[in-house]
Amino acid sequence: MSHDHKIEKAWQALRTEAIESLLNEIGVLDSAEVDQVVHHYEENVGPRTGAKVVARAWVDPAFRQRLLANGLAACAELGIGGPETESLHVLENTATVHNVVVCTLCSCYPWPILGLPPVWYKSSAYRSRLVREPRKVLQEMGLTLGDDVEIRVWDSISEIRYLVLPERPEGTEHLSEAELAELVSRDAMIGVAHLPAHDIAGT
Amino acid sequence: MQPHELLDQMQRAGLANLSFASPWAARLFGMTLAAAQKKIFSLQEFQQALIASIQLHEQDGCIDSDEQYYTCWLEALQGLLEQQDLIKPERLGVREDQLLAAAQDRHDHQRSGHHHPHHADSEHHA
Repeated sequence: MSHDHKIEKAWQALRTEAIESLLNEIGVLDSAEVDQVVHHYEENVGPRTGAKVVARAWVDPAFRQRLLANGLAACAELGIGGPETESLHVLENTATVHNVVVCTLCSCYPWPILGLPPVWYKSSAYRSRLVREPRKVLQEMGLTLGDDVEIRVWDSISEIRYLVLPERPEGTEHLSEAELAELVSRDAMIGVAHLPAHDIAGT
Repeated sequence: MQPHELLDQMQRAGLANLSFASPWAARLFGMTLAAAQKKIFSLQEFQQALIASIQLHEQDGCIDSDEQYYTCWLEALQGLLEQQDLIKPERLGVREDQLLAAAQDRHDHQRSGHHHPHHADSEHHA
């Protein structure tokens, strides 16, 4: 046990606290407003949000069409979205086309649909390599695609955010929309994973 | 980040909702979105600042942790607020010293006031 009584704090923590304190003081930002955003992202929004959108698209062809035509408007039908995303482009995977999303310059991500991005999405390695050698990077991440599958890499530049609509796994015809949503993973909605065929014996 | 690390990271992230890597990262994210909602700056302006900060950081090495990433975020946010004259660097330093001193006081007070810190505090004054 340490007998050093000096407080230790990461400089980033101290700087952040000082910024918030000064913004509070001059009345620019209220800490309650900050609390609200943090709480929303910790409790309400996450990959399960996006999974609901995907499951609906699988069971409702008309919704699927609307989603592909205007992602944000269709998500809003489900009460999903936020001012953080101005334009959502939904990319449909097929047997011959695989879509994958990256943000090469920073880490743009459809926050209100998928929550916070995982650390690998923000890493220099993923951001710098995916555009250059997508097939290899995907393989390293555990997704091997056949040569007959075209890979389309989408770079989240300017105001457009992307969501991959994975293919509905085989053997899921009998599942409800809620059960389908349970199968959808964040990684599949970014495009670095497939959804496995549904294991009927396992349910 | 090496290839196997990309996969490791992916498996570690799993399918669950991610929360913030640290409390300060959460406050930074919250302040940025709240400030954009209040139109103190736009998210596009913030994005440009973050891109610049990440570029600068990547001249010295790769980003492969949340701490490095949110450090870039912090620098971007601070830069934007300074540009808009909402924060002055010298005021920031003073406030940091004050916050540290206050935290130290609380810490010292707790140590001197409670010889059994693991016991439930039954002397709370409302």
